[in-house]
Amino acid sequence: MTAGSAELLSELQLDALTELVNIGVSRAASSLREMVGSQVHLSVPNVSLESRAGAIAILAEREISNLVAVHQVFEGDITGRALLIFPETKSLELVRAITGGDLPLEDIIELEQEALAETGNILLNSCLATIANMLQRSLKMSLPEVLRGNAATFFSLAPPPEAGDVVMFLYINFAVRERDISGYIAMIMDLPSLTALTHLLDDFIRRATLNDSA
Amino acid sequence: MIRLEDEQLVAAFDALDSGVVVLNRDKRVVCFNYWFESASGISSQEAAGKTLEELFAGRPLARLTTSISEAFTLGSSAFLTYMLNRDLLPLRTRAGVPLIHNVSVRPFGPPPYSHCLLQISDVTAAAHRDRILRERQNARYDAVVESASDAILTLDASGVVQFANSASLQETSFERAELVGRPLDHLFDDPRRWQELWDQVLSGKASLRAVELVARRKDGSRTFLDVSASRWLSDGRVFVTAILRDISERHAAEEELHELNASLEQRVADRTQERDRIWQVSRDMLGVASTDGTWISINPAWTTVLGWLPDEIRGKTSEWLEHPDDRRKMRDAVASLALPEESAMFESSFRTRRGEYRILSWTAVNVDGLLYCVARDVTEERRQQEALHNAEDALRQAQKMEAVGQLTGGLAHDFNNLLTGISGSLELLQIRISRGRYNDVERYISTAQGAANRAAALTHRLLAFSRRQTLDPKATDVNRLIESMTDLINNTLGPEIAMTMTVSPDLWTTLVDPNQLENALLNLCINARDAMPDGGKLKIETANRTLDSSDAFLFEMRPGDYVALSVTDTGTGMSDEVVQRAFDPFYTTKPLGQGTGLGLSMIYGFAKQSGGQVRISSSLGHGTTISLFLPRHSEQEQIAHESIDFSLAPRAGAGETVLIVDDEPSVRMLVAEVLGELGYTAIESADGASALQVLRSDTRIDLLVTDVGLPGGMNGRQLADFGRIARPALKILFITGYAEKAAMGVDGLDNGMAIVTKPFAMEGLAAHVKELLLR
Repeated sequence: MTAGSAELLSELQLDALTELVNIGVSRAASSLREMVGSQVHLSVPNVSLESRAGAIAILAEREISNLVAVHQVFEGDITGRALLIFPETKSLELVRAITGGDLPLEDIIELEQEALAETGNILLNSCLATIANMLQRSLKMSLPEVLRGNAATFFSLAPPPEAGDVVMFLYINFAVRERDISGYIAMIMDLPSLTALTHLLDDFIRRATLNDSA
Repeated sequence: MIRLEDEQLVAAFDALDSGVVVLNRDKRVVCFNYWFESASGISSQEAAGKTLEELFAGRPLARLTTSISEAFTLGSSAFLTYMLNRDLLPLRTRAGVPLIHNVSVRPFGPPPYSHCLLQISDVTAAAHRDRILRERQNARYDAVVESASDAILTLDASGVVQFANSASLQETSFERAELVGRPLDHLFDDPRRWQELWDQVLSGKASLRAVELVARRKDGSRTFLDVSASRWLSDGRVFVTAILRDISERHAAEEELHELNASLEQRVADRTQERDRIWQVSRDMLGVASTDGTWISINPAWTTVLGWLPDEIRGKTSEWLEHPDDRRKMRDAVASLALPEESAMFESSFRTRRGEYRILSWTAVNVDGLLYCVARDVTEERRQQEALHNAEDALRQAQKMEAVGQLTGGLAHDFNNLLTGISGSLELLQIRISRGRYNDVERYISTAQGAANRAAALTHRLLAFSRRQTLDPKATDVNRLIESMTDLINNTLGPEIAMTMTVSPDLWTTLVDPNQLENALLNLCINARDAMPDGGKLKIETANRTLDSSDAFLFEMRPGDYVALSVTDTGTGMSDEVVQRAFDPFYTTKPLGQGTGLGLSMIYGFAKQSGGQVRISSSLGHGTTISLFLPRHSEQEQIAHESIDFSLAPRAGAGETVLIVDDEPSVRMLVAEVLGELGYTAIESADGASALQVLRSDTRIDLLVTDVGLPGGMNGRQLADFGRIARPALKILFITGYAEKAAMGVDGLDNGMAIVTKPFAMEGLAAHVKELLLR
């Protein structure tokens, strides 16, 4: 957890968020398993809140090569962009893992765009929908788009973000058909959305403790 | 928000160019729009109230159903692409071909969502376009890549193999699945070089030159590869295609060539070093000179032998070093080497730094215009040779003196005996004559004559040894000759020795000087006797022998018929060493003074001069056989007439005059006396010059009797020649102590010439004179 996270979310709130994300991810895993026809393990070991610049710096530091991202906009009580980000070099591996690995390169390349879109959609949708559902709110998700570029371009999409955006930053590990692929999920929200999130999280925590005590 | 009337909404719903399906929370169809009705072939009324599973039985709808469930439960939306969800719904275009479609799933209405909307988009055209493009590209790609003999691999930006052609599987012996999806660098022995290439290619620089890398096949064997790579972009993504060309064969050839070169260099270096070492360590002086004799390089032996430093020798000829006597020889030698491939061997002396001269034995050869010379210092050898030569000379001198001593001793012994006989007889004769007692004088005269004759025989023997005796060969019956000598031999041998004779009855005649043969036989018998001091047996044999070429070679004779005369004793025999030296002059086993050592030597000389040979067969303690081989002669022996009394000698015709030339007054006087007795007028002359004066005068001269050896520069032969110029018909009788062949000339004697050997019997001289004058 970074200093930034502590300022914006309490430890309890962050723990709740991490739990929600993991529920969403495990749901995504089962969806993927259904699609792939093979065991898919997904884990999110860490959730942190970063400033936009901090998120860009983290990605730039960790990933040298170009990046590929599946992008979706979510609208509702919280509004923002969700990105599933891979190093470009890993994206083909991901597609190969998902499609079974027997396809020739040309087919993989051909599949890449749509397979990434669909896979990213499953992951992002599961995460966001699960979070929204658990928070008893609804979100409207746009259709997925595949983007290529770097952290800076991903976090500066038009329309220009308003100052003070935060990035909820998740590390995600895929284990599909003996391939381990690491990537990131980033949710970019403005501060009102973050405030709404914290309230929703507080409600969620209150409900959860009530349920536990009951 | 724009508000539309229901009718308008329905019209818009049906006018959409994409499919719309509305489901209720029970996942049952509420309605289709017109597009979906025509694509699915199912009317909205027909479908209403049914689930998708009921409408599209047998279709892979699991994910779609899940997505719909989640849409209701979570409010999530889903996107199903045709890529990952093939043949999702049985839809057709208006033309009737399968309709390729994506599907999105989205709940609508306020939560907890009363309805779910499926939107179906037609991507048939795009998919077809993609497929055609792909197939076209794949066909081109395959035509090039799959038929290539080089391994062609396409990697993504992380270095992971995404594509491998058939050749790459053959090259690496990996399965496609073992190559594709894995990084390539583990193939290479030296991944750093691959990494360098990789970094260079990824940074956008084309690899202009192939990099040679060593790769490992699946079985671990090495293969040498030329690797080239280039980067390309697809949809913003970086790919690298690497071409791996197998150069194992070329590499092996290069390696072999390299090793060959390396070993050749090593061999050349070794050989050069060997040669250089020979140059350096040789004790012989080695040098290279130009054809004019200027030294170009010399080895260190020059300094060792002569003391001069290389700089003092090089750059000039060696004339300043040469012994003055050798300079001409050196110049001639160098001149003789002017032509290529000429070689020369010679000796010359070079001056050392200390001023002495060393004798050098040179071998030089002209190769490609340079003289390669080797000189060996033979000074010590030459000194030793000289010393040896001197020693040999001294030895020869000593041997000669010893031989002369032996000879003079023997001669003195023999001559003293004879002289004793002669002087004794003359003394007694003098006494008798002084006393007037003449009756017994004849005996003393005979004794003296006998001794004198033996002395003459002795000188004959000396001459025979020197092979300068004058032989008088006649056809001789050897058996008869032996027969006539039987008594003499018996007397010589004495009673202790028993003599037997085994003669071949049909023995061939031989051409030989009978007197010398008698001498030889007697000598052999005497030697045999001396070899048997305690008595023994002596056997004389004669036989005919025909020698073929192999026998003749063995006996050092010419092939042909020979008469063999052998004398065998049972005496002490001779060692091989003695046998080998037996024919040497003056060699004797007898004590000093008891023999001249000329016996066998004389026999040998006589036999050789007669065209025959002498062989000795002997072993110590078992006696000796000495065989005399004499050539067969075709004529029969003429029975010699008895010697004539001097008084019966023919007498001279009236006024017949003889010119007698001899430097020895006694001989001259004696001959004059004898000829005077016979009625000739004698004119005496002591030398050639005075005799020539007489010959040039008008004095009547019927016969010139001259000694061959004369003082005053003119010999008897020359005198005769000059005499014949003045008097062509002049008869000439030569007197000689030995056969002076040189003086007599090779032609022998002309007509009207004869020769008589000293000493001669007076009646013999008279007979020769008479015979000449009668011719």
